[in-house]
Amino acid sequence: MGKHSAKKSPWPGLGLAALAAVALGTAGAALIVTGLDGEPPAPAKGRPLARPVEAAAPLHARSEPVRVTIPAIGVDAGRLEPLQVDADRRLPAPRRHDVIGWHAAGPWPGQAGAAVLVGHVDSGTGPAIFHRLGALRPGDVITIGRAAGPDAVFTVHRVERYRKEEFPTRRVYGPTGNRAELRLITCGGAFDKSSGAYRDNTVVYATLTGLRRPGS
Amino acid sequence: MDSTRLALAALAVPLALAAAAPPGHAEQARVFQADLGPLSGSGARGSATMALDGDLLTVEITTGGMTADQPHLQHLRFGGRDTCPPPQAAGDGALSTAELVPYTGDIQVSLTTEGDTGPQSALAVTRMPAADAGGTLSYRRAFRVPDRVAAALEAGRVTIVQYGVDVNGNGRYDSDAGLSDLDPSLYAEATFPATCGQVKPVPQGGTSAGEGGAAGADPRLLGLGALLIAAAGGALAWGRRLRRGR
Repeated sequence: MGKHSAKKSPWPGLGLAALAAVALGTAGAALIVTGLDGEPPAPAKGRPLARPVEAAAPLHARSEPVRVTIPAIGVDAGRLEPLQVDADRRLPAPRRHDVIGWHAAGPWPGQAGAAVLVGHVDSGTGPAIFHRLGALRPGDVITIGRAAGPDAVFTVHRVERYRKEEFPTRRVYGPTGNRAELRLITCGGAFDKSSGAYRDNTVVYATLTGLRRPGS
Repeated sequence: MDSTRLALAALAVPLALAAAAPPGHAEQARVFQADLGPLSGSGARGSATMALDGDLLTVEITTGGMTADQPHLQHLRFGGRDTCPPPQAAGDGALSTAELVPYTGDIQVSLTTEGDTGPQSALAVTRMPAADAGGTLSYRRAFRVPDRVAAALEAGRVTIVQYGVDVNGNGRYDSDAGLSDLDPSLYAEATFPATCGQVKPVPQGGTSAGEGGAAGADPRLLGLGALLIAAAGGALAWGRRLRRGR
């Protein structure tokens, strides 16, 4: 009996070694695949919100957005750049990679309609302010601090990605049912080295769900 | 088809309808937005969004600070300088519609709640939206527009004007400020311009907001991956030694 158990004892060790080898090898290979791919986080597919977002009444007064906080992806930006459309009616990205831009000619955050924020996904050398935008999920919260009045609190209800040539202008900028909405836009998908640009845009859709006094 | 499948299929129909505007296919709709600022010291403020699909125009307007519980005429105008009037346009007191016209041009569309939307419905008070008890006016309607209206929208020439200012602040339109220069059967307060907004086309398409610096291979992930695979090799070697030692 004793002989038997002595003979068997190496097996658990062998099994453990094999298991460790497989686990480590798989994890290593997965990391290398992820590392080679390097795309910014992509929106989750087909995950509707458990219950619809309860919209708050739009604000009427315009107040400049001065701060954007998105705890879910670690964004806390204390300055914003107003953006104007260029000659091709395209909305440019902000000049700096660590600054969020906003479409000053559209509805301002909290007003009825779609207020639009734009941020870079990366610079020439590394991740930028909206790098993890595609990782946002329905239910995540975005708070816009405003120059005057309470902060506007928005709740994400949709995250989508489109080829740039199929960008759904009406869905992103169009009528919102008179709700105060927010759109956050950045680049996503594969990076096309020949054109020096990303192929897709990632768009986060959020609805005004409340107001909060700063500091409360 | 068994009952489970039937139930699933029944569920799929409303789901498909809910996704009526599927992403990922190019759209021809044009979208416009306007910021509505106060006229005649009304203090009212709001925003409007429009979408034009062919000749079908969807209009949404939300304005706060309007005279509560009162109807408000609202129009699309063009054919003048096609801008909202500057503050000095009002000669004395509230801006009159006569003072407005050189800037915004004539009434081209009446933003009624039902029925006709042509210029002939400009003064159809009973078919115009009313502000709620808190002074918020919320309007949404889709209707067909003539080509010239679509062209003017596209050219950024259209203004939205909403009317109705309770100048003496008694909570209703009355004869204190006289009768309307548009229609003597209406009080002037009912036709004083309250807000104006220039309707502008929104940005086209997406934006270019990345330079690829985080798109290439991530050396940290690659390094960690290599390290783990080396460790896997180590584990294998350990396993072989165990077997040999047996």
